[in-house]
Amino acid sequence: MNNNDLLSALSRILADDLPAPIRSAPVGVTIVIPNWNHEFVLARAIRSALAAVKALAEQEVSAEVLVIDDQSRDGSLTLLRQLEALYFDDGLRVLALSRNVGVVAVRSRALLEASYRYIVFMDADNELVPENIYTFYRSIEQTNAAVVYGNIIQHGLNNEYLNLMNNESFQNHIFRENYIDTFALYDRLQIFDSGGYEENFILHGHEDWELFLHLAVGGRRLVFVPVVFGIYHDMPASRVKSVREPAHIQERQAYLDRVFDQLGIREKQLPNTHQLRYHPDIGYI
Amino acid sequence: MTTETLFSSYQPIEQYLRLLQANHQCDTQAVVSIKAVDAFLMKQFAAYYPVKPTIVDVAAESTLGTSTIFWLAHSGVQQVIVPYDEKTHLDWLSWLQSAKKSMALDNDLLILPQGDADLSSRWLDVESRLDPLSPPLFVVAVPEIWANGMKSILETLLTLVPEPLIFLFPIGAIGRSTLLDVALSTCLPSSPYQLTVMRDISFFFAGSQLGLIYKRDNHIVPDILRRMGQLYDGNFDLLTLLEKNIGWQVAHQSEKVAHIQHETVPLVPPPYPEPLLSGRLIQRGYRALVPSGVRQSLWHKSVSMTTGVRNNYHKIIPLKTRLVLRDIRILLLGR
Repeated sequence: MNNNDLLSALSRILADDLPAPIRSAPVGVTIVIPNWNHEFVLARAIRSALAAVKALAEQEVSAEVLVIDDQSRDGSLTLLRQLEALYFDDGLRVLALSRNVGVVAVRSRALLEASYRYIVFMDADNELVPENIYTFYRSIEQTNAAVVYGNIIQHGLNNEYLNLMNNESFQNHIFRENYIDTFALYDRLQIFDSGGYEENFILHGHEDWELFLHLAVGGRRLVFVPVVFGIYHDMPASRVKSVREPAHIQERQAYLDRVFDQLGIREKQLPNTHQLRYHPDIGYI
Repeated sequence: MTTETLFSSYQPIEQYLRLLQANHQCDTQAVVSIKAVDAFLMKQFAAYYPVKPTIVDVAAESTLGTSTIFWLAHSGVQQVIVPYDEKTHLDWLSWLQSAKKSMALDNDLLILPQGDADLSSRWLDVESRLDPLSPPLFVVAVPEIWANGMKSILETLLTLVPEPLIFLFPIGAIGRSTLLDVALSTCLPSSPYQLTVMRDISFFFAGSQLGLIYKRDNHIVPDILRRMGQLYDGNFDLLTLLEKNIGWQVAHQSEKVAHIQHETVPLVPPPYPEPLLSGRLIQRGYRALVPSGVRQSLWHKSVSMTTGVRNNYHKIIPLKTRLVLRDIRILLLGR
C-alpha cells in the first residue's frame, strides 16, 4: 500500500463523511493541542490557549481551543473531561479518539474538525504567548500566507532559558536542516488544498518539515514575524529526540532530496516565500 | 472505550444552528436551547441504556427542531418520534427535514401530527407507534412561562408505559424554577416516581439544567448515572491539587533556601552584644578634637608602638588578662 492509499484509508477511518473539499470556514482561530499522555503539563498548555482565546475575543476575533486526545492512558482524558465541563463556554473543546493514530493523523483530523479558518498547532508541553497572538492573526490575514511563524523561547525542565528558536525567515538552507517549529499559525484551507501532511514512516518526527518544504515549492508563503509566538518546554522524553539517530537522518535526507532536489539545483531556485519577514505595524521588513 | 465529550455530543446541534443562521429566513430564536453538558448527558445515558431506546421528542417545537436533530445524529437510538400540535407555527418542521437531508442523518424519523383529540387520546396514538422491544425515552423541554401546565402532561406520560423515562429541561435553581416545582410535586416521596437533577451527580455537571424522572424501583438508571459520574472522577480534585502543589512548592523552596544558606559563607558577622560605645562615635570625636597634623604624627608613632606591642603583646600580657581585655574591647566597640 503506497502512502496515498494509506492516507485515504486513514481519512476514511477517521472521518465518516469526508468533505471534499473543506467548505469555507468562518474567520477566526482554532488552537489545536494534540495530546498523548501529557497529563501533568496539559493544564499549562490549555491555560495559555484559553488566555489567547480571550485576547482574541477582546479584538473581536472568534477563537476556540480544540484538544484532541490520541487515546492517552495516563489519566489525561479524565482531566480533559473535567476541564471541558468547566471551560466549554470559554471555548474549550475536547475530541477523544478511540484508537491511537499518531500526532500527524491527529493534525490531519484537526484540519477537518476545526471550526475556524486559521489554526495553531501546539504541543501539549508548549505554551502560547497570549499577548502576541493577535499580531500573528493580523499578519496571516494581511499577507495571505499559508503559515506565519515567530520566535519560540526554549525552556529547560526547571524553566530555565535555553535557546531562542525560529529566528530567521524562510531560506533555502532549510532543505538541509529544519529550523521552523510546528508551533505556528496556519491557514487551514491552504494546507488542506495543498494536500495536508504526508504520513510517511521515513519522515517520522519531521512531517512538519516536509509540509513546509511542500508549501514553499508549491508557491505558498511562509512568513516570519519577529515576535515571540510561544514557549517550548524541553521534556526529557521528547519525540524529536528519538529521531536524531545518524542513520535515520541520512535516510530522511536522501528521501527529501529525491522529492525536492533530484537535480541538486534547489539552492538556485528562490521560492516566492524566500526571506519574507513581516510585521503588521510595519509591513514587509 | 467511552470517547464521547461535550464537543462531540454538541456538534450536530452546532451544525444545525449554523445552518439555521446561514438561512436568513430562520430568524426565530428557539424558546429553549440545549446546553452542551446536557447534550452530553442525554447522549451518554441513551448510549449506556441496555437496549436502544426510542426517543419521543416532545421538545422538538420549543427547541425549533434542535433536539430532534441531536437525537437523529445519535447512532444509539432506535427511532425518533416527533409529536406536534398541528395548530402551531410549522416552519421548524421544514427546517428539520431539510437539515436531516443536508446533514445526511439516517435515523428513522416519524413525525406525528396531533389534532384536536383530548390529551389521553393524543398520547395513546404515540404509544401505538412505539416499538414493543425498544423502551421509550421522552424528552420534554418547556419554557418557564408554560411550566405550570406541565403537571398533567407529565402524569399522562408516566402512566403511558410501564417503565417511563422522561428527560426534562431547563430546570433552574431551587426556589426559582416553576418546572422544578412541578417535577418535584409529581415525584413526591409517596409517589412511585423519582426525580434526579443531573447537576447533583458530579461537581462538573454544575451547569446542567437537565432532570430525569423514572420509577423508583428502576435499578438500571442509578447505575447508569453513577457510571456517567465516574467518567469525571479523577485522582485530582482540583482544589486539593492546588493545595498540594502549593504545599510542595513551599517545601521545595524552603529546601532550596536552606541548601543555599548551608553552602554560602555568611556575609554578616555573627551577632555580638550591642557595644556600649560605637567605634564610629569615638572616631568622630577624635577627629573633631585632635588637629590633623597631630593625628598624623601620633599615627606614625602608634604604628611603631602597636607593631612593637603586637609583637610582644603575647609575651608581656598573660593569657587570662588578654581574654578579659578582649571581652572588654568587644563590649565597648563591638569587635
